[in-house]
Amino acid sequence: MPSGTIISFKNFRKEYKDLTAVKGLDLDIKKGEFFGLLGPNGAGKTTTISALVGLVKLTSGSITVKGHDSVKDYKKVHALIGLAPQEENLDFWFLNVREILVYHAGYFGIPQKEAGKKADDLLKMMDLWEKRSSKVMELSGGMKRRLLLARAMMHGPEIIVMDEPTAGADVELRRKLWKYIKLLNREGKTIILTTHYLEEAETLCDRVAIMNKGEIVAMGTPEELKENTKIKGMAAGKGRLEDVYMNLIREEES
Amino acid sequence: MLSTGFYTLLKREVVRYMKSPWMTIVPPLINAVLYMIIFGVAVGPRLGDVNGFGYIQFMLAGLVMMTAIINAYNNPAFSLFQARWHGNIADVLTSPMSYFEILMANVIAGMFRGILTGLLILVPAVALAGMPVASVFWTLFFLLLVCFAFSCLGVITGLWASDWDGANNLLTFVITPLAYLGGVFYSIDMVKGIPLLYQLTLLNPITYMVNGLRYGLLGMSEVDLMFGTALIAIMSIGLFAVCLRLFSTGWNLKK
Ligand SMILES: Nc1ncnc2c1ncn2[C@@H]1O[C@H](COP(=O)(O)OP(=O)(O)OP(=O)(O)O)[C@@H](O)[C@H]1O
Ligand SMILES: [Mg+2]
Repeated sequence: MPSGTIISFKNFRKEYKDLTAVKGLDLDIKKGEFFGLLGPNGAGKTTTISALVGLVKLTSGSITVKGHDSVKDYKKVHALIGLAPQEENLDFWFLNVREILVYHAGYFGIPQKEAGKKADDLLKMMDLWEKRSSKVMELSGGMKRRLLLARAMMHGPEIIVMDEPTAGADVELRRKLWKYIKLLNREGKTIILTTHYLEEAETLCDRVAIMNKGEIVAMGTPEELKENTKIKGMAAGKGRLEDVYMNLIREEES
Repeated sequence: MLSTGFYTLLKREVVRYMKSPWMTIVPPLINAVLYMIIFGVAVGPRLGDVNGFGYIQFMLAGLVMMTAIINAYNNPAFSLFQARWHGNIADVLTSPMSYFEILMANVIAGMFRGILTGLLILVPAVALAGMPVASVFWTLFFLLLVCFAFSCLGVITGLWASDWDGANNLLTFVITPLAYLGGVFYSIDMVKGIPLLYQLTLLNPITYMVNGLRYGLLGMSEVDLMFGTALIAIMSIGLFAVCLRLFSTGWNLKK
């Protein structure tokens, strides 16, 4: 059960040259929570996540993880988070699939032997065992995505951040993946997920935030959102999360 | 600084070039052998002695330094640029490694490549061709210090470059010409009467680096050694300070 705040965004703002990608975001995520960050393309989801892991400089505001400031105490914060990014960024230059995982764990301070064992477990888990000696170039799109997820879990982080992990994943993998993530979540890991599959978010997430144009336009449990959003021609609480979402985004545009 | 993360990244940066020696280690050696055949064996004897040493010995010291410089520079320049270009730099940036550790792993890996290629030319020359080593200390001192400076310059280029040409341009248009005009193939004495070339040679920091190594190997110096050493040391500190600053502010590393 989620309890206590683990991640806290305070008035986080990000400007790229002449574009404001995130406009003063306030968000608390609870420890052990399965949190969904939803919103259309360009809403600012990836920017928000990237700021959390130190890949984006904050224009203003702050982010704390377990009370550590994400800028000043970046080392402590980084150790707590595993990231599966939206864009494939595997270190393909000369490493094979297994080496990618072992080196990654090394950067997080895990000795090679221990990392090797963990890599083997995750490769089997993600159905990549046969490909362990392959080069990234020889993997299919979905396999690369699985490898990104395995990499995020290599150092056993308390917080797992997944930016559209199921884009391009086949049905079987998607099911398997959710089973595994749910298990991790039940063990107490905090999960942050962005996805464009709203049914997925509806069934998985304890709480979701819907972002649009750099702002959170609605936040709550999927049930709360359905209760509180008036959708034309539908009784309160009867629609799907997708209807709520479309309603909110369309409202913004009009 | 001696964390598992640091060692892992250092290993990555070293394995990166050790895994493809035909692209990284062998070409500079082929170049060196060709230079030695053409200038050392074919042309050199006609030039007679340079400050009491055979031309081939005089030139070899320069060649070792030029090779070390280019290789120490190339490694971080291309490795960092590639990692930024593809995005896998995020692997280390999101890790608990400090920026100092990330920087040092890159710098040391570059130094190692520079020194390795330099020694791959020098050691056979000493073992097989009677190349003298006047002082092991000064030889290693200048190799280390110069490789440090150029590895730092490589780091700066690796962060600055926005495309593949950018990563290459500094090498093609600045470092290589400076190396050729840095007394690798000629002594300062030889160009004394030639306007411009003489002044360019004396203004060129690489002249003092090559001279330093010649001092270590042959025990001869054409310029003030103290001045040269101070110049290289100041350059190294300056370049390293820039690297530290760029890494701590996340210049071109973070969006
Ligand atoms: N490096 C950058 N430079 C300039 N603008 C950027 C940069 N990265 C993102 N943006 C802009 O910031 C805004 C938010 O982008 P972001 O990637 O956070 O969106 P997103 O919600 O993740 O979208 P998607 O669902 O498409 O992944 C967009 O308008 C995008 O064009
Ligand atoms: Mg995104």
